[in-house]
Amino acid sequence: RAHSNPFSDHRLEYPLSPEVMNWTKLYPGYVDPADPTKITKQVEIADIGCGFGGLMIDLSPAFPDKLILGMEIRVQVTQYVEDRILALRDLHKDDEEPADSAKFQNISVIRGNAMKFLPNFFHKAQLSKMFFCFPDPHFKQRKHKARIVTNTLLSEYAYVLREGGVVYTITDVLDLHEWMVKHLDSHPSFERLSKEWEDEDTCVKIMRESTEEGKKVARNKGSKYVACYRRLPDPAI
Amino acid sequence: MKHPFQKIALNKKGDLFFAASGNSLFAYQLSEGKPTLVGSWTDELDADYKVLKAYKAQLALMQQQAEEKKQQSTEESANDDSGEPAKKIQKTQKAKKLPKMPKAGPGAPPTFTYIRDVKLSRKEDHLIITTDNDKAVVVFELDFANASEGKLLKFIKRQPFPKRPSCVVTSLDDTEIFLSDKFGDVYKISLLDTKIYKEDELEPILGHVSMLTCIDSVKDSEGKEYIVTSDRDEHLRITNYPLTHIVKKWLFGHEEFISGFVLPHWLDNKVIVSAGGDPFLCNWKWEEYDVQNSNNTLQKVDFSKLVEPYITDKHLAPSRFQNETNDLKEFSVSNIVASETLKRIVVVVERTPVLFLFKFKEDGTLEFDKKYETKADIVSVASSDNDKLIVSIDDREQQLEIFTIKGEGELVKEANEPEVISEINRLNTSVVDSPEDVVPLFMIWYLRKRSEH
Repeated sequence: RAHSNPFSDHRLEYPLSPEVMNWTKLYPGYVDPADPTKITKQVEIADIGCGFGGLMIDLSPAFPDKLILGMEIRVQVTQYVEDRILALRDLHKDDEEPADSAKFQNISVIRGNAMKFLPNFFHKAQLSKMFFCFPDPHFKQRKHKARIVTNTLLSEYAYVLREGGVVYTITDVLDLHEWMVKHLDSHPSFERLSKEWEDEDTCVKIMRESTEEGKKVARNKGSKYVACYRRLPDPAI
Repeated sequence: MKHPFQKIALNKKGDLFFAASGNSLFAYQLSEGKPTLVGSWTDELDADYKVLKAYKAQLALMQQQAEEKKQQSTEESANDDSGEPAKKIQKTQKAKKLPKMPKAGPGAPPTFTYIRDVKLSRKEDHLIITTDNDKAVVVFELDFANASEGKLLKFIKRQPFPKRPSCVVTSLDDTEIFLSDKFGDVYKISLLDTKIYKEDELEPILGHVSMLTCIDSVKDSEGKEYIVTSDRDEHLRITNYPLTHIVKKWLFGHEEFISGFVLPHWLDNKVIVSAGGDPFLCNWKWEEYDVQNSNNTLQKVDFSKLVEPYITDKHLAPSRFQNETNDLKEFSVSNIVASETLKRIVVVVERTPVLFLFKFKEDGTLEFDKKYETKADIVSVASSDNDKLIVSIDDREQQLEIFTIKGEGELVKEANEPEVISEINRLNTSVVDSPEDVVPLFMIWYLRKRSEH
């Protein structure tokens, strides 16, 4: 199915806290030889509602030294992305070029509800980038709280993002774009990045071109609206 | 038959007792022998408020459409002098036919108009309640000058909210009301200002994507203020105030929904004790708590053995969620209260007739102290800072039990307790015809999460 209700109690698996999250199954290439229950790096980039995983697959070679996690609420879609990543890892396991290649060991996916359980997965200031690519527009007024960007949820994103970290948004729905801009603009923890910044940024380029939704919009000659925000430091309290 | 008291509250001194009975609120003076009624208020809002609201909105829309049409047809007929005006008028009249007021069919769940939460402001000069039907906060000033005439409750305002309120509390300086709702949002309104806001003028100051169950304010050792919120998804969250866009931290430890928490004031607000669907209490040193090292800052106090003798068929899980042998029983904490005089945490498990008292040891750990059985299942608990602990019980004759705190934290009943209770009941004028008209008294079990198939 195309949609999932983020408010209902799905049969979800999530850790009691980020401290007890076991990442070793998701990133087997980074298991700590000294402690096989731990990995040697922390996830730093999150793709919220990663869909079919296109963005992560292009981010993987662009950020070979960073761990990237996709979160997706739909079961079958998550399963598909999982299979896709395993296949890519297998296909590239013997690659010798480029020397720093992560061979897709640095990307992974979990089924989860980011709106409810993001702080169960990530520590404060753990993330440097968060992506919101072509989120569900939830057109109806009474469904607006189900949108992935709201004033109250932005405070939780600000919690897991470090100072200087970036929130990336892209959508083909103008109304949703304006909604996200309005809420991010008015949130004290975020500051919009300039058009010039967007034009120079690798991730914006990848985001525009690599997601399945992005390609579909391009085929249909639709518009893509991008807005990126920097996480500002908290004021001294 | 008298309606039971679904929610009760006491002032710190223990001489003012507030009791919500259905859609009525009663204020009793308890100090001198026989209790007296010093104030009361009944929610006159129509039980069909929601249906009426939707109906009125529909009527307004139709009227608007009809007027637009009428205007259009007048414009048209003005432009078209060879038209047939008679036919057009007929058309407009047809569109004006009013829809019938919808009525609940047989088998529809009953709707109640009733009072949910009852809280005193911190200075105890205001009483704040939440109503179920229009999802409102109602504020009363306590007018002590007119208490002897039964006019203690001076109505200040009634502010409806978009979603059903779950808990209400005032800010530490008592100027603002914080309201948590079942949609996960927290709203702030002024305690004293009588302005009523429209729904779209209200903006949440913080929110979870989960039903909120409890809210309170606290100061840390440096004097910084925070809002503490608990939700159905096991989260306890500490948020800065007034900069509510900055989350301080989450406290991770619960494995089931949280129904409530307390901040025992005698421990300088350094401790939070929380409970809900888990068979344990969580005792947090919330300021020091760090998810990477929770060893000395979180204590889980298992009470499953204590409650076992009181678990009956009333605690059987609903048939849809039963196990193969149909004997799965579930229990949840419905009341958690910090009693200042007793220096005890008082815990009630839903649908049990027993109070469990827990005390803090010198090292800050919490342990079971003693228990007190009551005549019937406990509904609501109220504690004063002075010498009283009152419980409302699911017993149509008695309705209440009043404990007096003596010596080293013993709960005793005064000799005149039966007369005091019978006088309180006599003054409760909220009556129902049948048990079906009693508002739901045990609702906490419903918060338990069931996975969707």
